[in-house]
Amino acid sequence: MLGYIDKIREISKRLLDEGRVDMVVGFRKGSMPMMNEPSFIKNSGEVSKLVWDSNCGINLANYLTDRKEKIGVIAKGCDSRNIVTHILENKIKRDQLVIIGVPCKGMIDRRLITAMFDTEVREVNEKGDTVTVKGAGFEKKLKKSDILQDNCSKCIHRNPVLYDELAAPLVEEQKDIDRYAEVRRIEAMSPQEKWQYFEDLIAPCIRCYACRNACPLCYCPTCFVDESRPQWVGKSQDETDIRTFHFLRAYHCAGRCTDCGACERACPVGIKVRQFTSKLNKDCLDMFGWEAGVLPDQRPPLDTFKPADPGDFIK
Amino acid sequence: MSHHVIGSVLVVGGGIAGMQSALDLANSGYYVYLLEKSPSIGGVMSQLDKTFPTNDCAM
Amino acid sequence: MGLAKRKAIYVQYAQAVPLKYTIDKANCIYFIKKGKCGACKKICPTGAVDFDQKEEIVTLNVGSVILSPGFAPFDPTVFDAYQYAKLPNVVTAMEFERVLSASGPTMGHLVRASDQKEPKKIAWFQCVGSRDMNKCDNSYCSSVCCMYAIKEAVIAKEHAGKDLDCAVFFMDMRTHGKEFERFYTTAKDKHGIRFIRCRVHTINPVAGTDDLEIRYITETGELKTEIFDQIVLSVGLQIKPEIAELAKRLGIELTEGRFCKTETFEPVATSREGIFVCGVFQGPKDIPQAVIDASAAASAAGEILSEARNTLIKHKEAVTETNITGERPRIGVFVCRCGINIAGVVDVPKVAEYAKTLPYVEFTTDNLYSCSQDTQENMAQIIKKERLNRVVVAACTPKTHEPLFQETLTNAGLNKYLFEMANIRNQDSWVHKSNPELATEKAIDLVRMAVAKVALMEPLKEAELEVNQTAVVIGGGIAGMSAAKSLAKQGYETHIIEKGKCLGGQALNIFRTPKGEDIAEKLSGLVDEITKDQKIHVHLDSAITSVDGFVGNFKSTISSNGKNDVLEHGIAIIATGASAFKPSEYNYGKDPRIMTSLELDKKFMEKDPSLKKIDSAVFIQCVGSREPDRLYCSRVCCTHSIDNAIELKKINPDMNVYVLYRDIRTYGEREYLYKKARGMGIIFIRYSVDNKPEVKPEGEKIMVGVTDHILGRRLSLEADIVTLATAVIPNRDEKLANFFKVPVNDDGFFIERHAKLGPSEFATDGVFLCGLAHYPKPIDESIAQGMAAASRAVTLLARKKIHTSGTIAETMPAVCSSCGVCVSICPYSAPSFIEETARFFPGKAQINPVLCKGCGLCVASCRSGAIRLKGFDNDQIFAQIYELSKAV
Repeated sequence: MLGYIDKIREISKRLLDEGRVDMVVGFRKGSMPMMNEPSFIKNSGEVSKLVWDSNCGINLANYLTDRKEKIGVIAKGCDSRNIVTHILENKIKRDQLVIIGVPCKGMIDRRLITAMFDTEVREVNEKGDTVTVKGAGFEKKLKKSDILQDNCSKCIHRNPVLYDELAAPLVEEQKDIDRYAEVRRIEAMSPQEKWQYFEDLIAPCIRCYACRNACPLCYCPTCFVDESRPQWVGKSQDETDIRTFHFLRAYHCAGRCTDCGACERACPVGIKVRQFTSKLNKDCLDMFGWEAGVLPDQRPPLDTFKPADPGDFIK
Repeated sequence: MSHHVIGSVLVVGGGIAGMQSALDLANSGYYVYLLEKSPSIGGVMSQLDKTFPTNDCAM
Repeated sequence: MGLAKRKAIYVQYAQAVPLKYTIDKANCIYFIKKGKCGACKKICPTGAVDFDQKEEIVTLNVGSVILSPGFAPFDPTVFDAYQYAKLPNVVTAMEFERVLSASGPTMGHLVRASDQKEPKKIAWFQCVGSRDMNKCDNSYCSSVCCMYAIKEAVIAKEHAGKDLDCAVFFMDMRTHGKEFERFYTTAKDKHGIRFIRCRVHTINPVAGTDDLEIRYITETGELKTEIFDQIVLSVGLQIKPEIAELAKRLGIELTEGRFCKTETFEPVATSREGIFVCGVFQGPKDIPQAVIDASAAASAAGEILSEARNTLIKHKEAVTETNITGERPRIGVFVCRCGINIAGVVDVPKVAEYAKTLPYVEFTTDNLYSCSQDTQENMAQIIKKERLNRVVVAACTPKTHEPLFQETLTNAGLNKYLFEMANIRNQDSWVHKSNPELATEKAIDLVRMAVAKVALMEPLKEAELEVNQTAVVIGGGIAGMSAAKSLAKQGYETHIIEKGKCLGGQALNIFRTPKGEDIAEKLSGLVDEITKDQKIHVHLDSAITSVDGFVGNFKSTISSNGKNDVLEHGIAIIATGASAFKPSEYNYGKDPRIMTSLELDKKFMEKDPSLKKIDSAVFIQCVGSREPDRLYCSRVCCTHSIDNAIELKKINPDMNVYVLYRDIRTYGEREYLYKKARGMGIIFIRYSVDNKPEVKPEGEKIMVGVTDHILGRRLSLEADIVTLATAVIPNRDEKLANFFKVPVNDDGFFIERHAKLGPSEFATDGVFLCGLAHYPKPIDESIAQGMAAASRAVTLLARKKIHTSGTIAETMPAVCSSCGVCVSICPYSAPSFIEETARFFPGKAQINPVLCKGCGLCVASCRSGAIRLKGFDNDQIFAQIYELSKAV
């Protein structure tokens, strides 16, 4: 990881010094362990703040929406796919960006690690594939592959799909991954079981919209949940309203979601929000052979209309 | 031209072909008389169930 | 058709136009028993029954006559061996069509006539009354039966389920229309319909049952007996004797099949000047071809009458629109009884009475027939008198009647969008006949919803556009030239854009028509006429490099020899044609004696002396057609090859001529050629696609190996020449398709607006289609389609001004996120981004009201909720839903 950091700082400094970008968007150490924060570096003297480790799960594409300046952006596989989507959806222009690609080996799951210990985790260090977790009175070595975020363990796009600079050599993509076992398990349920499953899944939701705010796809000036004329969704904790929010948000992401996991990461009550989007990702793959953010010049299937589109659902 | 041209057309038969001719002519600025033997227009096509390839109802 | 009983007073079918009852004189008691009965006259509330109507003779003076008298399905009673008259389960395809239909006697439930049992096995017999000189006098092919039989078999399986066994007994499978071959293949491979090449001789009843037994010989020569529950006779098309009589009276020449005689280069002209023909009377044909002819006939009539255009038509007076902005809604509710259609079930006065209690409703009434002319006038009076500014009609469906009521609003000076219909007939009284109370409640709910919506309706504007009166035809082949000629004769300036060095297209390469006309001679006549016409401007060596604008106002850049010109035009006709496939199989290109059909034509045209020296000639059909990667029939090749085979035989009657084919598709009266060829001793050998002929030059001769399907043996033919009937390949032009926003199918042909009803135009307004770019077709059909495209174009040009709909989408740029889904998804290219340099809302989406069709695709797709559909606004729909929720 140290090699990554040096290279990221070196590239960032060069881009800022040469005036190719006005700002570099990257990560800096957070005030709590495993909580790296986005950082906006505007002069090359500050590049030493930039870090890289297995706690950089936030999707930086989220910070590129409607920016006017020239930006250097650190992009792992999923960020780069969201950048592609952003370019397609006019959120930023390609020539505004210098994409610093970071081949990714997966991010670790803060929630999983915290749950392993009774007391507070004070320090987390990593070396190679070993992650050392320290707290008051304990120190434990963990294997990184055992504590990856769920989406990272199923990722087949670790390398950026679009980049101008590379912070490290490309990594080998994971092969023979069954990405949709969980979706198939739910698909196989009876309607009653499914209903119960989703009821239980979203029961803890407090509608804080953290998932929406973390998602690079949710950039509408007025989100449908905030719209009052007409009011599509009630503002209360009514179950119907909560369901409407989750279902509709998932549909808005259909064909665009890169499974970056930002929503799940952001959820303060630990809802597996990706259960909604994964199903639609699978459907897009099955029905249209489509994966979001991979093709730089093709719009997602739900953005296009052809008279010959599958229409079996209309009876 | 010496002879007088009359701006109207008689279409004999109100099946799909007759109807199409009549419509085209009327929309082009001619007065059309559409002659049909039976009480309603539509011809044989109105007796068909569905038509290929759209499976539209022939109606 | 005698499948079910109807009353002596009847409507032909539920959607009949006009939807008026008729008395069947032959079965009415009043007419049979001289004045007895007459109950209908007493009971009719509008006094519409008139027993004294007499036949009148009306004399009309018209400028032209178009004959489209249609056909009669062949009556198979004369076929003793099929016992159609005796066996109830032997039916004609027309009767079967009614059984499949939801509006038919069994409401679409597939049962056989004798015992109402659901059949498990159905057979279709092809060519009943077609291609038959023995039992009837129709030696032509009826063109449509193969395809309709397959369609019926597929739909029968859809109705009855997978277990239904469908077998089609045929001679040659003639699926030569657009997308037909694909349908045939799917029917065979996916639906499991059996196709058996055999003409069955006899149908025998199975004693003690209603089943039917047939015997037939399979392709391998095996004799089989099979029992079916039902047999459908695929009856052909024939001209009624009275029509032949009429033709005689008019002095019009007929063909030997009693169809109207026409010439290839004037496909809709009868032998009598000023009288044109279309539909099946012109020759056996399917619906799209009939629609093409029909427009062509209209064009032909228009060509001779153009100086008298607009002399006899009537115009309506325009009424000034009242400004209702800021007014409190004053709603009028008109509840229709529709005779007893609604009032027989729904308590109409109660509904009208209820409507009075709704907010903003100032006037309610009920009408016997809201759509009758006097009610319409009355309604306009009421609107004015009561100063109504919104109107609800609770009656039937807006699909048929909205325009009528909107016209009434317009006549009363109201914007026509201040209107809403509640469908209390189709969606209420018709479907809840047995429950009048609930039906009345539902009518009340529907009216309440409509009132809530109409109160929120606003006057909508329709954009008015001038239509540029110039036409552009892309492609100077025979179809394009015919279109241009027709447009020019009807008074329009027309530009032909041809990429080549001369006009003529593929017709330049063809020797003669199957009717024996010399193409070169006719073609040069046409080219001459085009070049001399003052209104036609020919651009050779030219191509369109960009297109801006939309219907009525296109701006195209035409590049010729490096020079660019901008042309403004109102419509465009795409006639970009096709070319002949150059195969890589059959050793083509390696020996000059192995040639394509067009190369043989060239030899005929040049009167090549080598043709006289040929002792043996082989034709191979379907080269590049009807194969997995080109799954369409090229339509012209069977007739073309047979005609050329006959020509060779004429040059040297001792010549051995072989035609190796898969199915002979000499549809319509082209069949006579096939018959003639066989009579001349031309030998036809069928091969199958998985066992193709082999062609090998061996010294002096070319050896052609083919497996004879009757002998089951490999034959070796010695040939001096081998002619390959190669596929017709469209000049795939994605760029042009993109310029005009018109679609192209997988094969590269353009996709028309509607396969049946809009064959010569695109879904994009102002863009039309003809010739080989649409689908392979012979010269007569290309010319007809060229004229048809012109006719369709004239209907648009003649309007001079066009109005777009007021029901269109509009963006709210403040909420727009510029994501571009609307721009991407719109089939009509109506949305675009506001320019980056604009002062307000740069980069946000906007919708061109002229291009928008109001389909709502963008509205539904907009994640940001930034698009509204006028007339179907969110608040209007929510108001309706809210009122509905009061019902439960």
